[in-house]
Amino acid sequence: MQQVTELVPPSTEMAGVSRSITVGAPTPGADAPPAGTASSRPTLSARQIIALQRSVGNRAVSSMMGTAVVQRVAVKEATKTETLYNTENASTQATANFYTMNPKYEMTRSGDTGVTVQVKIKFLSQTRNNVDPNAPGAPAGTPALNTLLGSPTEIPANDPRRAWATGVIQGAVTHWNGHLTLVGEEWNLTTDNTKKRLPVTFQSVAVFGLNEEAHSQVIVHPTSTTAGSPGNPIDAGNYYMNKGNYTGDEKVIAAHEYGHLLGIPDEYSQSNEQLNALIHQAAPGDAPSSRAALDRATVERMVLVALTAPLSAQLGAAMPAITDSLRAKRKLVKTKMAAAAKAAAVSAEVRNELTSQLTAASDSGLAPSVPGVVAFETTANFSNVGRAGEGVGVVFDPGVLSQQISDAYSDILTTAAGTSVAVKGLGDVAIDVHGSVASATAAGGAQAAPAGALATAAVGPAPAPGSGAAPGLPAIAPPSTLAAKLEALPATWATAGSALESGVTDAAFAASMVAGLKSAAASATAAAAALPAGAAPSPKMHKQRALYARAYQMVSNAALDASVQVATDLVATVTDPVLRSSVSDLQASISTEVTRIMGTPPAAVPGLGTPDPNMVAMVAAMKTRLDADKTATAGGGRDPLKGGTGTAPAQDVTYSYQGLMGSSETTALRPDQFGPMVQQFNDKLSTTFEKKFTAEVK
Amino acid sequence: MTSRVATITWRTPPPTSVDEELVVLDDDTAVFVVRRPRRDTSAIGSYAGVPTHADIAALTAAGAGPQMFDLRAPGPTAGSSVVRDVADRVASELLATPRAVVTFHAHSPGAAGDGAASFTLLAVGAGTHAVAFQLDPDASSVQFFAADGQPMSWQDLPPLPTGFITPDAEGLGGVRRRAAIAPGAYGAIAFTATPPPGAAQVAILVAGWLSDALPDVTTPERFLVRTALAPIP
Repeated sequence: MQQVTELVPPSTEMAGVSRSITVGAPTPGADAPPAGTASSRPTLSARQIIALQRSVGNRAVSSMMGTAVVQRVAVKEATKTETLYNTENASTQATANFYTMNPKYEMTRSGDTGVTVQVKIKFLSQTRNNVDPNAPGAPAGTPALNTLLGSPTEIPANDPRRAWATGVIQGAVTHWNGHLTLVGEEWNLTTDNTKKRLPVTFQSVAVFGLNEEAHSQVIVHPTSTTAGSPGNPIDAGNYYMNKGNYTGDEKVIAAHEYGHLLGIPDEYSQSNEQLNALIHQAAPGDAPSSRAALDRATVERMVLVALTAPLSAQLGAAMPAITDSLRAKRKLVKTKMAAAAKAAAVSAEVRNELTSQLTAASDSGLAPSVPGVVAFETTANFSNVGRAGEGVGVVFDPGVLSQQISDAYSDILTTAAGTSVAVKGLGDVAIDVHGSVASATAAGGAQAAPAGALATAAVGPAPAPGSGAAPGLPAIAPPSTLAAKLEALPATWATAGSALESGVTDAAFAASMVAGLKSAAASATAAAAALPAGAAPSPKMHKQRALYARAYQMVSNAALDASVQVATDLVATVTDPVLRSSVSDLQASISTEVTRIMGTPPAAVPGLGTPDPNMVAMVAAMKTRLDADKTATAGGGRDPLKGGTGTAPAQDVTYSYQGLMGSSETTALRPDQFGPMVQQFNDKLSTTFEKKFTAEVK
Repeated sequence: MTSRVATITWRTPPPTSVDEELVVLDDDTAVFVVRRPRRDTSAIGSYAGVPTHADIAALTAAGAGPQMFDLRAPGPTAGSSVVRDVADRVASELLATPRAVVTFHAHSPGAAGDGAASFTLLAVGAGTHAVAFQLDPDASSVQFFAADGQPMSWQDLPPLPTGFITPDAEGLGGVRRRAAIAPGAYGAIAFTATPPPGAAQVAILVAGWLSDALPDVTTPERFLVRTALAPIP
């Protein structure tokens, strides 16, 4: 810890600049104001900071303002209050359930290294009413089920609930970590902006004193009270040691409830009608409705989801020609790989790593001969051609190539189908297309034929037996198709500057080989660590023969793995962009037809040309399904902000926004779900020279 | 080729996002697939076995499904709770018979200089078949904890030049390509990271795609699991 004093001589603009700005890396909590007090960030005006920046330089100011200062603020968000489509019926349509939060927490910024969000939870004891006031014989004045009775009391010091609660919230909070990063930039006057990435770590701290300060209070019910029994549902304010019929791990359930303590509501998983109601409530009175745009985006997404399986199947059918084309260049790849392997094996990093590991594994008498053995096994006794050929052979096997390309295509399609859309007034909205839509294009489904035709047009035809351009040659796919583009990729591999030349390099091979050798040692160490206490570790080598054999094994295996990895990366480098481009093109053509049908005045439609009849059929079919969903729920009075009763019609598509945790349909976090928290960060913990941070989730 | 006659899934919303699936096949066998476990475990993959006729009858009584249960709520209705009870029990029993399972472990051998430390992600295969999966390094992270288990901070995984490697330097894959780890086999990925001052334990959040877990699912499906805490020397 140090105090920065007298940074610059006093001047007019600098007169008010604090002479004592705390820097360093203090012990958590040691130098921060208590919860509920003002931020510890330096309170300089923009002019003062600019003056400081002019005086001592940008980097020095950055260092003080953003890199090393620990700033802590107490956050209290407004109270939040929701009909959730969060279950499915047997036809895989979404069905509804009907379902309040006073979020408080502490947010700490540790300079430019990260952000911590901490919730202090006070665990107390209290019973709930488990008598239904409407049941026959219920005493007059019986409160509602679930109501907490009397006042909370402290959990006794030796009560097992204390240790249990501490363990549960610590386990629960780990589910939140590793996902959220705040991404931003700092303006610099004379150089490029400084990019910043602040991983957000969530913490929870258990306190048990009745009068201790805390952000939230949770009642812990003892084992004698069963969760799920009348009057005892698990919720954000009530945890149960006896989880009864709840089959989820208590940490899983508590992780969800932790989100509510942060002020993250349940996911608004809603019907089109409900979302439309929200759009109206969110949009300014004179703003045009976003519903039409949302409907278009919905139909586009429905078509894409419906086409996913046919597209994947079609790529599978066209794959033999694609893999043949790639395999035709095996010799070229092997030659390049062999050269890279030869250079990598004698590189200093590979030899040093080998020498280090083999020396550690040899007894003192054998160790001096290690460098000579390494030299021999990486030159005279190293079959670079053999290992390169073997590795390329593994990756360019038709089945392996097919699998790699198919897996990548599947991931790209899935990602495209899961991307949120921006809706004015609401922000990012996820369109959740349910399985009932995809089944329309399965074998025997109503849209199987047009979907098959569209998939063929996008991917290319599958070569029928004997349909080759000449006996023994594969069918030729139209050049605009995905298959044709993939087939064309290796054509340039023999030219200077090709993907082969830039991908299969001495450096890439050596990096992979060194990583492999290090991982091999780590593997052995981890395995040894798992041995029972007292078990004998592997004896050290003391014979030349064993040393040569071990060195040969290490070099040979590491080179083979490097060859496989570098070849795999080559294939991915060339095929992934083509796969992405194909999906983008498909999305554009879907969008064009959706716009033609749903967004073009009738008089202008002829000017848009002749559409693909299969796309017309697909878009029309999906629009019909969406219209049916809307009709079924229209006028249902289902204000999503007020809840409801009774049944709600099943839906093919639902939407979710500004929430996190109610819909089990999605397993992915979205940046907008952390919106309020990011806003708090930008308001209270970002510096004058920083642009607004945004959330990035993974 | 077998086909499914009943599908039961267990889910929770983010951040836990439990994803478990019990499938009854027409040859009277059942496969339980764990992609994001509900339990405190770092194992994902498939478990297989032969339920009793009575259990199969109960699981298939409501049709092919899928029936989805949200683990945050107790059995919602009388009709489905029977299925749920049986499904929970069958799934739990199947955990004793792994088919193609991988368990991830974090390990820290020690300091690597300049405040950095060496870390290892270890993958161990179990069951009767090789488990096929691919890591998603971008969605994975290394997480640091204090001695009392309090989370301190986390970092992205550094770039991984290659996949899981056995002690004999044999490549098992898993980075930008599928890994296939046979029962009893294991491999590690070594990397370095700089723990925050005071960090005493480490865990690795492992994300990726699980393949070949079910006979009729041809596309890889996402998994996410966190290793148990390991001490940092």
